Amino acid sequence: MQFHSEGGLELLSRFREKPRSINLDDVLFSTDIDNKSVIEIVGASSTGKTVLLCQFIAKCILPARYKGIKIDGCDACAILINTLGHVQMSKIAELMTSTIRNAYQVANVQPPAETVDYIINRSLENLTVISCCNNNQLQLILHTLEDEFLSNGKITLLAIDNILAYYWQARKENILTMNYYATGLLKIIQSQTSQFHTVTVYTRWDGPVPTYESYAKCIDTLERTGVNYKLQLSKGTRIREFMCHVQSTNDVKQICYTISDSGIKWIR
Amino acid sequence: MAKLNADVHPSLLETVTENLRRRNVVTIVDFVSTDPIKLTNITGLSHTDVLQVKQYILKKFGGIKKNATQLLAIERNVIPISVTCLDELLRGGLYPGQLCELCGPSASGKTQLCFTIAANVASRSDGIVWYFDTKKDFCRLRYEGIMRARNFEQKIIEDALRSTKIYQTRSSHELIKALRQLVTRNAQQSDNETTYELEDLAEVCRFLTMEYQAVVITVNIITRWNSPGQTDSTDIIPALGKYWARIPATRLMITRLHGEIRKINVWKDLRLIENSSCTVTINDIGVTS
Repeated sequence: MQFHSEGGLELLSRFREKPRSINLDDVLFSTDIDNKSVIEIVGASSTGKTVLLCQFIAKCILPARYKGIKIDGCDACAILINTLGHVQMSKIAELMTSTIRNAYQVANVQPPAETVDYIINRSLENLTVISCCNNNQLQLILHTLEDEFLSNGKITLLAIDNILAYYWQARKENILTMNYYATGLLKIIQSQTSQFHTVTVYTRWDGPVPTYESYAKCIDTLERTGVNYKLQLSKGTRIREFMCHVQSTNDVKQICYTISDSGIKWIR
Repeated sequence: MAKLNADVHPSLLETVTENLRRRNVVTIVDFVSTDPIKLTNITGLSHTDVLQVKQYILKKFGGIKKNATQLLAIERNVIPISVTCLDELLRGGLYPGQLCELCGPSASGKTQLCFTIAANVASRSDGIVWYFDTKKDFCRLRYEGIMRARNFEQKIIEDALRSTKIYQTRSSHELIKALRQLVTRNAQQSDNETTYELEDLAEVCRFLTMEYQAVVITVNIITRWNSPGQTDSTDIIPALGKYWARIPATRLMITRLHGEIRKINVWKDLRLIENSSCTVTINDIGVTS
């Protein structure tokens, strides 16, 4: 007779209250995304990768409602690994301000400035930022994510800007491709998050890959790397217009967008 | 990658690390990612000791963890450049921890702009400026002239000169070494390949911005070099190649309009509107709006 042995962590995660699924963006993801998904944001410089990442974070940490006003946040906690130092908290605050103001406008109420500040400050408390400078630090952080998740059960989003930041440091020690390096990091993340319900989202630079890929090949790549959604951002044909190519295991779509102070605006 | 030895933690004696090495646990990352029970067996240390070493490594080599509200408070301590229209363009000035690059063609006034920013920051009571001079053209009179033109008191000028520290470097290797000494990190052996050297430079800049919340300003030229994949041959790009192009968080571009009038454009930034611009006057007394 064989016994099934179970670690304490597995036991805990089984007992944990049923996790909520979250929707980080109504347009990009038509339904709630599975709370173990991996989202990759890839694109050339100045196409809004970091803005989109900030927007996901803002949505995640904002409350669902505040005093009867529907703000439509996920009311959850997030971890941001800032590898390049490009993410500004003031940008996340700015994005949240515009979301809150829009929410109040829909309800036909003029929000007092103190209320907006209060909501922003309270939401920012849900966000932990880990800054690192080199590959060593990043690896150490990734290997200890489990401890972070254990210490706060409300964490539902892990954001990394940018996953390829230290590629050249790693390459100095042994020759490996960008894809191989990114997949390696992703494997560490997946091993650390396997017992938790966390969505992982990361940005990465455009590699020297051909822009055109057949659908079958995309699916193949997605499955091989463990990425569930790939958001390919690129400049559109018109000035100030951009294009987002969304690939998931069962769907492909293209959405145009513009970037402004209030973040990315989808054009349907 | 940092290897395990007694410098990392006193209990990692040579016999212990030798045993670890035989089991392929060579670096600190290997140590942290290996099951503690396995480590206990290999090293002969007690379980608690292993966990302690692990915590110690994380504290010493891990990243800096902060709550976002804390970071926002730091970011809001904006350092004004004291050039009115440029401060408006930058929404108040430079924020602590910003890595900003000033780009432009030759003779567009990049150095003078850098001097002006340095002079205005150094003349604040709490401002300390480190100026790394790679072209050997830092001129004290020119620097002092900018402050004199702003009618600062003699005492303020003297203090500002005292809090401006000039470091002349003759090679990129020396520059990286000097920057490393600034953050008292032990200089490692360096490679001569350009990308690796740029990576070293980027790392130490990141360290200054993240650990010390310093503003780091780099001055760079632009090129019209054609690279494969570049669609428009007249496209201008910052020098130092694709890798460096992605490193600074903010990039400003300064171009000559006519005479002493220059235009400063936002080339790249997360918050500012791309291509928004202001015009400034540039001459012996620095940059004025």
